[in-house]
Amino acid sequence: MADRITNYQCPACTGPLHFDPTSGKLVCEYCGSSYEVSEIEALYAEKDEAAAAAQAARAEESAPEGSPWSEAEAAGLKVYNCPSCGAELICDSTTAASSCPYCGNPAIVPGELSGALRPDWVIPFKLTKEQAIQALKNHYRKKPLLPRLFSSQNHLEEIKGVYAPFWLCDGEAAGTAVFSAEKVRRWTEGKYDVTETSHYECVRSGSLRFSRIPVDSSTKMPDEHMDAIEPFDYSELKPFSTAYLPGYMADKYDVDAQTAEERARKRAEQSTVSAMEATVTGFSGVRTKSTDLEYRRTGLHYALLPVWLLSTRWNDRVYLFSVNGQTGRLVGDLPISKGRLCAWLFGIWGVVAVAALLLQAAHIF
Amino acid sequence: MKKRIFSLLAALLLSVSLFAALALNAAADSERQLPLVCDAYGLLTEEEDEALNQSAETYSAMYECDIIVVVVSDTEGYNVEDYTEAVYQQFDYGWGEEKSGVILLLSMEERDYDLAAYGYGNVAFTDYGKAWLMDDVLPFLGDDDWYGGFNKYIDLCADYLRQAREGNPVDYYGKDDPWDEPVRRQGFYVTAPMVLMSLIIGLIPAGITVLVMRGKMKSARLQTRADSYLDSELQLTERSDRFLNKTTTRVRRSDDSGSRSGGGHGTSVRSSGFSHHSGKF
Repeated sequence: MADRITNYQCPACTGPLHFDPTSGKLVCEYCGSSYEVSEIEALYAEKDEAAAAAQAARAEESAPEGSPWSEAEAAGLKVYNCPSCGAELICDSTTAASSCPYCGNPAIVPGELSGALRPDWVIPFKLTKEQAIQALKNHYRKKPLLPRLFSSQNHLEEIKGVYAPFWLCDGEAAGTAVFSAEKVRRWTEGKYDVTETSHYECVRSGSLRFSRIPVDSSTKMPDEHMDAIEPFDYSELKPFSTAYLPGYMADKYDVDAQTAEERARKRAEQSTVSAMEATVTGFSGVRTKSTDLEYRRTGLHYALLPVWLLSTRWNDRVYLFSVNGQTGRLVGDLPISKGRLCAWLFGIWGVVAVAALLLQAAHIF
Repeated sequence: MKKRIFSLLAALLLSVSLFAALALNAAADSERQLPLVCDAYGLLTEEEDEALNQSAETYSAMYECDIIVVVVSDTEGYNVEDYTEAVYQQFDYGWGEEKSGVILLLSMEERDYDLAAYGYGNVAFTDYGKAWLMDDVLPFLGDDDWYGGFNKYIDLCADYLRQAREGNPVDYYGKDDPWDEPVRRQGFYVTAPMVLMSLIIGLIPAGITVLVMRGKMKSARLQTRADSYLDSELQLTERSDRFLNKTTTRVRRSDDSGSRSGGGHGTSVRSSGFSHHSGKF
């Protein structure tokens, strides 16, 4: 049975509202009215709750004894009706916000972002779609190894603004690191060069606190991309409201907090060892000998962070680019033209080698 | 007889402190005070002395650069190189305005020799050339074959000067083995080692540039650290640096007192205007 999903409608004309990253307001495409997020939130608070309750009730009916996110359910698909045109929307179970492929109206799936699944924070989009596309165009510039036809032949296959789910991990790494260090002294004794190396063992114990290490909690998003578009400016974190979502996709997490925290732990420990190593001073060489650190969770938050995903197809391969929807930082691997690579390699090699040969032949060096 | 007079004169002049004879130097202008081959120790017979002087005079005039041999009993406590410079200057050796010349001085008591060049001599007798020349002369001196040694020396000097005047002074021109025959400068030429060296030199910047360009094409990477999310300074509870042990290595320095100074090319000229090659015979 198809569930009903909700969208935010303009209080003036009932047209669908979109979140506008430039003004930070909800805007009606039809009558041009704009509303503060808080206004719409207040207006829809009751409606949201009712819809979520209905969704939860249905979920219980279909899976009476399982948890709301049993494995079977996570792997399955869900079917909804578009509130605008009535079309049937098939989403995968992690989709929390999307738009109708038929009428283009933004739609928010009730229940996916409420209760235990309700994010603590959200950073609203600041970068528009056009700015994201421009960022990609800029990315192609000054790339001598990029195949010439790549930027001209390929066209954007898909561009979507996604509120990507992240766990923000607070924690403290504490423990001991042992470093081996050296001091080197050199002098000459008659016909000999003498090198004296003094070896030391340096022990550092201590702790370092971290706040809100972001960990990508959606398996749909590549971890390398989500790591590389960091950092987000946390000063713009807002208490979560679905009113920021219309017009964008949103996913709910499918990587549990414990798995995510494992990645945060590794990063925190690595930073702690580096900070300890930085206190081993006055030596000419320092090497990490052993570490014994423990990571302790001091807080865990769930947040939706804005990401533009752009994909292009070229030579039957899909190239994915991610743009930080707040800072505009873009990452994505580009194809390398073997011809251009060889041309540059042999070109520079040839020119320098010929120049060197001429200089040698003329006895200049 | 003539030889004896010269020898006596030389011994007398040399025994006077060389550094106090500036006035004498100023008085003498173009007139040479001592013969080009001045054997104050009596190593040569009169005939040998005359023959050597004659060939030295001939070649000196031909190439406008004095070819000089001076034999003394000792250097009066001076360093052999300083002593050679003093002899050269005090007795007004050197051809023309430039005072060009090459001098081989033997100090018999310490068996020290110094081969020094001045003026145009510095062009014709490079560091490498000097070392090469002495390699040919020293076997004679080591066997006390003085005439043979000086004769060889004068012939070689003439040969070096001829090549220098032709624009190709004897020098080290980048052959693999500095102990090989010195390569005479032949203008523009290319050898296999040069090509190999050029290819290696070219590969380094080409490789680095392409690797940097390739690196720019990949931007998606996992983060391994969390430095941007620090919430506190590092709170250290223990900090100790414990000394474990000391290791010492001794490496013999590369011997730089060898008779040859292969490797570079050109002439190392002192601020006095002289270049030297000295050692024991």
